[in-house]
Amino acid sequence: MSRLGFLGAIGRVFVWSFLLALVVVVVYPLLWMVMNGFKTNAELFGDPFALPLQLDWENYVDAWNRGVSDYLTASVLVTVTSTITTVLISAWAAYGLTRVRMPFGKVVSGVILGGLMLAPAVALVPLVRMFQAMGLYNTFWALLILYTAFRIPFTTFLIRAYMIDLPREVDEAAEVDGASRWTTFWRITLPMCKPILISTVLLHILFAWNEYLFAMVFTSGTSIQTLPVGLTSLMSKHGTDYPVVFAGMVIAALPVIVLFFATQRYFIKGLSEGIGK
Amino acid sequence: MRRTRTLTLAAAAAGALVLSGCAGGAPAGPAADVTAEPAYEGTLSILTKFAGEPLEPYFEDLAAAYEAEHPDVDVELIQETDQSIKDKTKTLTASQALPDIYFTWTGDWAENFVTGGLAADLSEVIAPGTEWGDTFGEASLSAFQYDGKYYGIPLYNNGKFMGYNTQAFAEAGVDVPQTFEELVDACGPLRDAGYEPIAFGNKDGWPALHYLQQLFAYNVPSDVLHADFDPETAKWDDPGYVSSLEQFKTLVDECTDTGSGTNGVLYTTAQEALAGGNAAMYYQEVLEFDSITAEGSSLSPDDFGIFQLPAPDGAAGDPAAIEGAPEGYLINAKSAQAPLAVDFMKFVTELENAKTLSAPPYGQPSAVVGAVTEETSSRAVYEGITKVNEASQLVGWLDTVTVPEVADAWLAGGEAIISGSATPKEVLESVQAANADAQ
Repeated sequence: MSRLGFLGAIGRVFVWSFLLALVVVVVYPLLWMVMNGFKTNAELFGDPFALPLQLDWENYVDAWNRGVSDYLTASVLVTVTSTITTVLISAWAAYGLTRVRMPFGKVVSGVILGGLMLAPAVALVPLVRMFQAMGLYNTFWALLILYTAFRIPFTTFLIRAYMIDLPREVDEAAEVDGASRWTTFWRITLPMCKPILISTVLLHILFAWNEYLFAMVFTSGTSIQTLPVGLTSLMSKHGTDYPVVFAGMVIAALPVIVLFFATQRYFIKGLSEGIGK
Repeated sequence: MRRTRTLTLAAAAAGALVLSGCAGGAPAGPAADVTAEPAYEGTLSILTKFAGEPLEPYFEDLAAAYEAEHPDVDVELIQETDQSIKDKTKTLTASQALPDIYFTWTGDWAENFVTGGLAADLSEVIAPGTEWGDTFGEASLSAFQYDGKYYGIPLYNNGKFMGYNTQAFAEAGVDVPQTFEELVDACGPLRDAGYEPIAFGNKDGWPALHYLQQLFAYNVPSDVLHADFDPETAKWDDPGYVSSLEQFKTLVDECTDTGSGTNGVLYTTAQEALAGGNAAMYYQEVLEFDSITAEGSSLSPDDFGIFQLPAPDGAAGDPAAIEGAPEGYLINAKSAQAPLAVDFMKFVTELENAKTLSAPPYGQPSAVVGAVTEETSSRAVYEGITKVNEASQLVGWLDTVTVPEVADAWLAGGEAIISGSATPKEVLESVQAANADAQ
């Protein structure tokens, strides 16, 4: 008994020190970023690992005023709207593909899933021409349409795979009770798909928040550029004010960190029940 | 079987999407007439490299002033950074959506637009001898000259100089070196005085090429060097290259504290080492002078001096050549707004606006004659630009005057020399091989 307890204690110490080491590895770079937002360029390069000498928010205010507030607004707007459109359209598509008998159903599935094989970089040039012709180039709509269009295949693929396995008997029961297709979708199927919906929402948020290529090519100017592109314009070839860049990065990371803590429960649940299915 | 069919369908669908995207190219429009009288109406689009602080407001202010003068003109700015402008320009070019006026480097980059028929021939308005052309230094204009025609509007000039801390030199008791050997000899006393002799960060690869190109200009006869920039006539076998690479290696080993680890050091780290008073010297562009001594750095403008990288004793090349090149703007040959574009660029390069550009906080020495004066620009910028104007010739950056394959070989070669993983001879062989591929 006492021997087991001793071994158990050793084991615990190991596990704890391992976990603590992990915490350091993950948290320290983030903390370093936050702290360097309080320094000046000279302090940063003079002693990168020292604690900041003063805690004034000048760099954070500076970053905010140098466009980060605009980039943040643009990022939040694009992320929220494109998440709603992508997940809803994909869920409708997946419902249609799994529950509705239609002519050439297989072909339609093939076409939608074929979009997965289209690399965004390949489509860049024709897309720029199309958007210029339609007057959408350098507008918020360009990003909304692109993010939605390019994520529908993958999102549909995930939701479809989940819906296929849902028992059809439930749909039939709903039908017997007099529910229309519309009601069945909203009241029966969609709630049953909650785990995969949460997963797809999270994946889409991560995608839209970090996307660089489209944002860089299709937008310019502070009013509609998103954070990944905007932050690079804080840097220059000669003489970047790094503390301001770090401050901007902290501001950019905050919403995602807050979102994570707020929805942590769904994060783990969604990932384990949805994708790992 | 069913799965295979779905996969085939998916592949076919993807293929169709790609193909339909590529089909159909717009027919080439009529060549722009740059001498026509501009009609002051419509939209004028400009792609600049001035995004980010402190440069961003420059074109914004100019656009606002121009719009106030001509209310029917709408100036649309696309401002990019040094990093993003390459990708943006490539995409806009490929999608035939290049703005009316766009930024360019000299050398291979600009030449691609000229040979592709995307740059308007501006000889009639900007060649030396014309009214507008005479406002520029002739060397800056000829940097954008191809087959005897002038294409570019040079906006600002640039050159590479060794910036140094005059106090550090005084403490160590060394004078400004006159030869390359003296420069290397000065490093010992500077180190004894507690300074890193030369701060050098080569994480991006191109800083090494800046040293190399200046040394090539000193060690390789000028006509041989210029012949080597063109893959068709290039041999890359002059003994001056090997001695340049050896001199560069000596400098890295003797004068930097980072030595063979220099490839891991950020350019800004080196810049801060001089600005923070820890390093005695740092090789830099004229464009950086004002940020080195900006507010918050411990190096004051009075303690900051510059000198041209000294030439090795008895070098076979041109000891009065300075490495540097202007950067400027091209006008889209297919633009319907070409006359208006010319008019706008004339406005941008008016002496008053050129002076604003050359003064802090922008500190970009305008290519317009008389824009950089002792009153408006900082002392170092004025001194640097005077030297650039007096140089026997300007040699462009190595990675912009050579074709991409050769430039890549030099980038890899520069890093290999620093880390010691290749000998000068091996580097030169890899460059020759890259040149053979490019032919």
